[in-house]
Amino acid sequence: MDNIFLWIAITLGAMVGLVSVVGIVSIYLERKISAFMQDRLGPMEVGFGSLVNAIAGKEVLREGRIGLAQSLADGLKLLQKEDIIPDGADKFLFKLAPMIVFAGTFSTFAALPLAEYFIPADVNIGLFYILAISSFGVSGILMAGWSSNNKWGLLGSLRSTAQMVSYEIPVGVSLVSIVMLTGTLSMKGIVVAQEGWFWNWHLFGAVGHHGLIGFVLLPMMVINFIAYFIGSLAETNRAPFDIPEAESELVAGYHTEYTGMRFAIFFLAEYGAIFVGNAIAVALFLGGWYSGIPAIDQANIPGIAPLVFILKTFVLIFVVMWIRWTLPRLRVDQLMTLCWKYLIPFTLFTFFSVAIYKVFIV
Amino acid sequence: MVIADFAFILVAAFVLICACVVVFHNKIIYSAFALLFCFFGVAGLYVFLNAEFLAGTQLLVYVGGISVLILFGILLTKNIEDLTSKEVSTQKIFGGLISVTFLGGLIYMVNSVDWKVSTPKPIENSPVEIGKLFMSDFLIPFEIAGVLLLVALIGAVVIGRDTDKDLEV
Repeated sequence: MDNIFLWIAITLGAMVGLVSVVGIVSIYLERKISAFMQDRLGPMEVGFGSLVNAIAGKEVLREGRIGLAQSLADGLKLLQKEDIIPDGADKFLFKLAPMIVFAGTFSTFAALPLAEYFIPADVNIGLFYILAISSFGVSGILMAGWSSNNKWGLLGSLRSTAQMVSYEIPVGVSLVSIVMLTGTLSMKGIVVAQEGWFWNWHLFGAVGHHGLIGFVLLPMMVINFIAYFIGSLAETNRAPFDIPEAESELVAGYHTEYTGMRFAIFFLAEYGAIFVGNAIAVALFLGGWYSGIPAIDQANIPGIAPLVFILKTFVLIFVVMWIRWTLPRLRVDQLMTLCWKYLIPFTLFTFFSVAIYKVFIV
Repeated sequence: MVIADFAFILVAAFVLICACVVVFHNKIIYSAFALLFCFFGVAGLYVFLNAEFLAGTQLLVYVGGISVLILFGILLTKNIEDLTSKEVSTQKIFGGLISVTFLGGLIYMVNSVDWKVSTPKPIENSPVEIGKLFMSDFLIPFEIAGVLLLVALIGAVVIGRDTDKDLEV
């Protein structure tokens, strides 16, 4: 019995660590990447050395710093901030909302296949579980928006929920094609199906497994991947789909009234959701923990599999940030047009094609 | 197993407390959120019954869909904060009597029925089996459900369509 509790504690600890590190690294990357794209330097002052020196009271040098500890410094700052709850707010729900939003993101980490030996819970409905549990966070956003007693907050949360619910359809349909192809919902099973060279990845139509006929699948999978990627951008409320947080209209959307650590929790959840969204893309389309070159996978280098997985995910996260700092925000009608007139028909088309392929060719 | 029992009691208590909040709370928004958590807890109960797929569906449909729809309706209603449901409880004695009688009947039923315990082991990969059954024995109900949802979808589009030509973008 002790072993089970120990196992639960270790798994939860590893997951908390992963979420926090992912959040900290993503926020640092976001600041640096946005700065480079706008021809700035971004955070340059806070390095780990200077942080240690500043605490020890020694002289702080400027050389050789690239702001690596900026996110940590931000976290420390947010911890010290006064925790303000607005007078007219519903105090219980106001406090509960960030926890719900974070729980929704945190639970999805449980089924992420970082490596064959490193899945906190390899349930047989893995992918379905991730899609289902992430819808739990939606209610947290509604709760946050309503309980703040702020019209910007409420409007932002309503927009956010509408967007998340409607983009669940193309995301779901594009993922169902992959499930149909592999015949399993287990995240582990889907990744294992892409073992070997990189042309076995689903993005490239799993050519290695199906032979040359697999090339028929390639355009479908590329369309699927792009549709999923756009859908996951919209589900995580990232620009160009940041209508729920539109600064020029809504101040900050559902978390307008939140301060200090509660605000930080929202941000952690958001970056966690971005990581999960891209991790699903990596696991389903880009071969998961396989590096694409069999020699590297078979070399038995310790820790290479999770490293490959996280590296691939961060490449996608870079693309997400690149898009954010390049494209302007969509209007609401453009958002709905994109979803209903383009993404859903395209994904339904690929869904049918994959079904025909599965029945008649494989 | 002790841990499983403990977890089951925890989940069951969570469902019951949430259900009580749904019924007894004065503020309708609290009832709505409690209903959402109640659905969430029921998904947990499905997991104890080895019905993972059903649990996932419960989350996706009830927590992510229906609850959010209810919340949307409530949040978009004017002056919802001032609205309390105190007016409803007018027939306290009569209603209480019916409730107690019904509860007594349920308790009698639960105690008197000879509950069968299923002996076969739960199916290892239930989604695959569910899929096979949908495509063979239960094909017609499955297809009819699909058509029903399609009709609902098209109906929603027709109702929600913008009839004012001036507003077209």
